[in-house]
Amino acid sequence: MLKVMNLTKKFQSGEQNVIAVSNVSFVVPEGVFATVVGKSGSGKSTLLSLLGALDKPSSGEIFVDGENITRFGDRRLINYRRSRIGFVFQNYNLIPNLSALENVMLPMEFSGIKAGERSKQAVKLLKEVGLTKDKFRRRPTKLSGGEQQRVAIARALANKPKLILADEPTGNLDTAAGEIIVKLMKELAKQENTTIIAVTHDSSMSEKAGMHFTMKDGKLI
Amino acid sequence: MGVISRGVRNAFRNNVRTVSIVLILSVSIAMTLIMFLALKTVQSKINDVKSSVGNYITVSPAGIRGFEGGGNLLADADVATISSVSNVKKVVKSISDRMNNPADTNMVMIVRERRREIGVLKAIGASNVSIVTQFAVESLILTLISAIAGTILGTFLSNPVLNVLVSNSETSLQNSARNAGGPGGAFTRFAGGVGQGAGAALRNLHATVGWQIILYGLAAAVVIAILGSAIPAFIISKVRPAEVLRSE
Repeated sequence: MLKVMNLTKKFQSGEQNVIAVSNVSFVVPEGVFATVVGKSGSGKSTLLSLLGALDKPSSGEIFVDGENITRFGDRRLINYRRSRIGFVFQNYNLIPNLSALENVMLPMEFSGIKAGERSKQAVKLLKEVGLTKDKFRRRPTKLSGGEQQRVAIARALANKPKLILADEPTGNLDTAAGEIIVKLMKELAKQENTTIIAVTHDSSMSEKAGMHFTMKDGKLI
Repeated sequence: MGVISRGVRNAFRNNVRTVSIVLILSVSIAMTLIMFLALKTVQSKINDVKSSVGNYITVSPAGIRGFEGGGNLLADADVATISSVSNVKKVVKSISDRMNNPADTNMVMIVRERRREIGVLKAIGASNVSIVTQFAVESLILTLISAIAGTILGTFLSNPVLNVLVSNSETSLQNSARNAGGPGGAFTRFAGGVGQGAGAALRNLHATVGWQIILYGLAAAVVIAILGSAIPAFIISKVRPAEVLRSE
């Protein structure tokens, strides 16, 4: 379960003090596919960064399965990102000189899983997200946008995280490919009991989510 | 695939990039080696010449009386040559001082161009140590290849470059002396024809590359590679991944 309490993030932009996230609180139960919608600059991506421990909040608390991650030191934050979180980015952010299979194996390597087990698990995940076997050894540039996003989802699932954070996962995809990705994420949330929080502009994606939040000027409305 | 093998593979991730980096680095290393050898050779020749010619010339109103310190008196060509050799030393030092920069700059560039990748690696659970190791291995591989290529290039080119440096410098100094005229010109004319042996020795420079120089050179290249990549990688790995991703 994810519980966010009074979360605030301030930035210093030149002379100005910008409040990107302002006193946000919400709870998302386990296994739910939730979306956060809002215009550009509303603070959704900052919120996602805070939930994924990519950035530290100015104040407030984030509890993941009862643990307050805002109190974690650097080492625990690395472990948290490694084992509890999976990221899916708008630009896929796959490592360009690694094959699809190697990209999926990468988080498992950081977790210390042995090579044989990594490979077996990566093949299983790529099959689950629907990538055909002939594309396993291809580099990201040789895959379509939809295929790259499937690989990114498989990579996010590699260490069996309890929470997947997706930043505009369909932002660079056409409607058909986007729908397939949304369907896939919903199925995964259900099957693996994984909580998925996706930030999006796409209202149709939001309609398909189990929960949805709207952000405006750093606040949940 | 481990961190080290990923670093090795990253060194060859793009042929154009790899060739460009190796080319720039190997030319820099070759030039540094050439300049170092030139400096060493020139210095040793200067010492030889100093020990074989007279140290002081004494001139009386009635004409030349003699010189102290033994050896042969310098001819005008010798005066030009020995001045040119000192001039070569200055040129060599100034070039070699500038040759270390491309090696460092290259490594900083490697790290900077991949800020996004570093951010992604951190977001999916890589530790600072593994990121720094990966980049250090990559730059080490590129630098070692460049150091080997640069040493071969430098060994073959050291003598021709040294001769060009000496003869260019000598010609320009002789031209300056001719244009200047006056007492200096009279002196060089007066001294001409004597002591041709010392001048010939100065013009006959030969650089040799020893194993010691090669090993020191390779060790220096490795240190530059590690410092040049690990320091910026470490700095970037300290940045929060959200900042790295936002900056792209």
